[in-house]
Amino acid sequence: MSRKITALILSFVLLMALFTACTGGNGTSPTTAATTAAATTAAATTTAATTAAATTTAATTAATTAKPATTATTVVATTAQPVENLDFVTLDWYNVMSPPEMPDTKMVWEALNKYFKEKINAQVEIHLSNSADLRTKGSTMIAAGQAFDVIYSGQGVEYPINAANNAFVALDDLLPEYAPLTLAQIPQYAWDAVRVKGTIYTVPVYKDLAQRINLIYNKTMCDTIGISPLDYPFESAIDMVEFYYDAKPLRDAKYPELAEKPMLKDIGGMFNFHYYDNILNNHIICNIPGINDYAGNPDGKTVFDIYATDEYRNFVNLMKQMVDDNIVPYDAKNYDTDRALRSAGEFIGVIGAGSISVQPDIYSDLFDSALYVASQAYTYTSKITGNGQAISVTSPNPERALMMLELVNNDNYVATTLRFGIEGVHHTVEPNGQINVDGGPNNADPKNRGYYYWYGHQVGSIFVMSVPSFEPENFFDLMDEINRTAIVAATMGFSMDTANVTTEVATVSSVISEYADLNTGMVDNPDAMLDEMLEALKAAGSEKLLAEAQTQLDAWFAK
Amino acid sequence: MAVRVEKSTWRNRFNSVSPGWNAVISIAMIIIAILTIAPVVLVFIISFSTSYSIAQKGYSYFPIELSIEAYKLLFKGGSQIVDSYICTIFYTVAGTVMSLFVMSMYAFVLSQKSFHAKKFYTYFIFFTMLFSGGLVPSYILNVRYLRLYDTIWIFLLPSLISAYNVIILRTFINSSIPDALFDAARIDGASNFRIYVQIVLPLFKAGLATIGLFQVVGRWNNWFTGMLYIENPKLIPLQTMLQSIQRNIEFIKQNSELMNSREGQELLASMPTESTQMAILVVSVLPILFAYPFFQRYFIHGLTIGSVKG
Repeated sequence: MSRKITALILSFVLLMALFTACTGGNGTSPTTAATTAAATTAAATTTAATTAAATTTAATTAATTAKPATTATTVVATTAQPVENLDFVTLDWYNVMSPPEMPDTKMVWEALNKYFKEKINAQVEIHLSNSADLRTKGSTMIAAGQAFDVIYSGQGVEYPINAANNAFVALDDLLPEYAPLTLAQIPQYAWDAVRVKGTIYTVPVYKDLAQRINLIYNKTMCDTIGISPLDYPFESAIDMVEFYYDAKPLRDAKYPELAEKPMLKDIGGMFNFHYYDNILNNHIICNIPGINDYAGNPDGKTVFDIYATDEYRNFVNLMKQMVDDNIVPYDAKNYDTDRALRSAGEFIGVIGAGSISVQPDIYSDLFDSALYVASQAYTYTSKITGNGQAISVTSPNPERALMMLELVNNDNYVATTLRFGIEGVHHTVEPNGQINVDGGPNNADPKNRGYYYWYGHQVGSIFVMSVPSFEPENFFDLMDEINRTAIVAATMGFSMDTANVTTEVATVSSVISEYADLNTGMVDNPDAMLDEMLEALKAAGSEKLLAEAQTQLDAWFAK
Repeated sequence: MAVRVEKSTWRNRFNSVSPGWNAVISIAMIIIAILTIAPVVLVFIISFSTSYSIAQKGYSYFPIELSIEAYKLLFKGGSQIVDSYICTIFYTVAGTVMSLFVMSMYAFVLSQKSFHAKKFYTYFIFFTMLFSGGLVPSYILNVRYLRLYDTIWIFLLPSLISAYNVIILRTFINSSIPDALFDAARIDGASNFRIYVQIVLPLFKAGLATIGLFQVVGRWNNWFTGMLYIENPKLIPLQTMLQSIQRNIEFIKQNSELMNSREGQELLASMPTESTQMAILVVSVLPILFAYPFFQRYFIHGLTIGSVKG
């Protein structure tokens, strides 16, 4: 009897195991319900098709102008084929948003999917993660050959390597037919930057494509102690060091309780002190022609080791001195992680990049901030490949995915909804066309918004959205100016292929991270440690890396 | 002639340590114990500190002010962490119970001399201990063929049998339950399943408790499975949530290009504060802290299971 019972239980368990296979898969095959829905909406979309035809002429004239849209126009992206000829499909989109899940994410995507269904008869199944998670997940998914449509190809998802391994669809032929507006909107140098082996594999994000550093300084404090950074020239972060040193005695005299505290959290690093074109891992670099910050080092076509330059030696000694003089804190990375001191107005300023304008109360109501931008903007390959959307070769509907990206990059409704939520629920539109991000009931509490992502660089061109009210009306003009006047690195479009030198890359990386404290002034004797580091780099094979980079670069220039 | 027998005090029993050395060793152990507990206590205290206190004083055992704002934030209605907590407790307990059940059955079968296919099955499970497919093949298997993506079963099924533990359990049966017991039961007409339930399981408690403890701790701490396979916010494990926040912050901080840009600042601004992170840590460690004393008494016995034969 018990044997029969056991047999019964075991067969039941086996049956359950079979049933687990029935749980929803992650494929993109349309269900029967969806196909009937598509058939019924086909009749409804004939009217949409005629309006689409009428706006086609308007769209093509807009597309012929090379200059990107400077004001938010309501150009409705048209599709290559009339909508009723398309089957209903589901597109899987793996993207990065921070935080991944907002309270109203589902609601917003339902509204977006209704719109996508109208326009291109598709719906998007969005999968959001953190950057670090998508890095691991994305590489596993690509290696496993999983079927999905669009993936964020930016920071960490190793775009050059994956593109070289044919993980993404080549877009050169598809762009003119399925995404003409996007092709026209993004400047040529950005498209060239994302070419791997001569082919475009991703749609770059059109935002501030150039690096221009800025200082957001504490205006209230500066006015009180009688000094202003505007009196100092500002070409790179090193120019501001004099300002900090001049300001410190004045600050300590006026605010004795702050005398023990540093002037600011960090000063921007080597990256912002002496501009360079990053070839590999911020270690192998080139000069940027027009800036040529590394005196005595060759032009923009020859690589050299950043750690061997005089500028770097001076930098580490300067860092140590600044830590000793309490201009910057000892452990900058872990200092004021809550930004509590910044909000309390204890710093003289915050150094960063990419700000076009700042509200006076950007950090707190207690004090005013103002913006001081550097005089130079420059751009290089990884700045542009740092953000993009790529279509996987395993996608069953690459053309439809591209059409979806065209909408994301060109349709005002989509761009605004993706960032600010649903009109009337999350945001409201003001008379001058700008957005009040806290206008709707769900966003009323700034600390607990229903849906808000500013500025949504992960989802597509920011030039298409409606400008929020806390930015100036000519926001796009200002940004466009930076993009157009940026100094372009000579190696734009070149990505180094590390297939031959993977061991050296790994050993050199570990040496660099071992000596990372040099960058923050956390060492007793920077000169001695730097000498050690150079020895260790040589032992790890950095010369081989340099030679390899130079060969590849020469071959690339020869083409 | 009477033999003078000294009273046996702890001082002159054989193998006892002299009092001087005893004191030294005790003090050393006490210091080590304090050093081990101190960081945990610090984590507790940080989770109760305010951001202002951390900004002013850094991590300190005596913060400027205490508050429970971090916990209030975590447990406010409908928040992520309650779902994660329930989900993690469920699959830890369910997974351990299922796993122990199946593994002990396997071990019992392997220990029976009369089992003809014993060699094959031992070899079968031993082989999986030595060779594993790796991350990508198991990903393909789990996602494409078994369709376990984004379901609760991903935590329960793939980790059902651990070869190492099965062999430990088998050795335990072999060494601590005499064969005569099985023979006697068979003569009395007991079926195999009945022997398993009524003889092996009761005698097995020490082994089950030890393996159970390892399983519970292992499953509780596992964050990678959740990160790779789960998207549904209701199913995200606690550790995955915590790790995700940590890794994201590290990733942004290490990437100097991103750090200095506007996007980086925006990203960092949306991360939880230090005290919230510590609060999540405390919340995730507490159940294990409570589970340990429960398993304590089986621990020593379980550690020496495989060491004595016969």
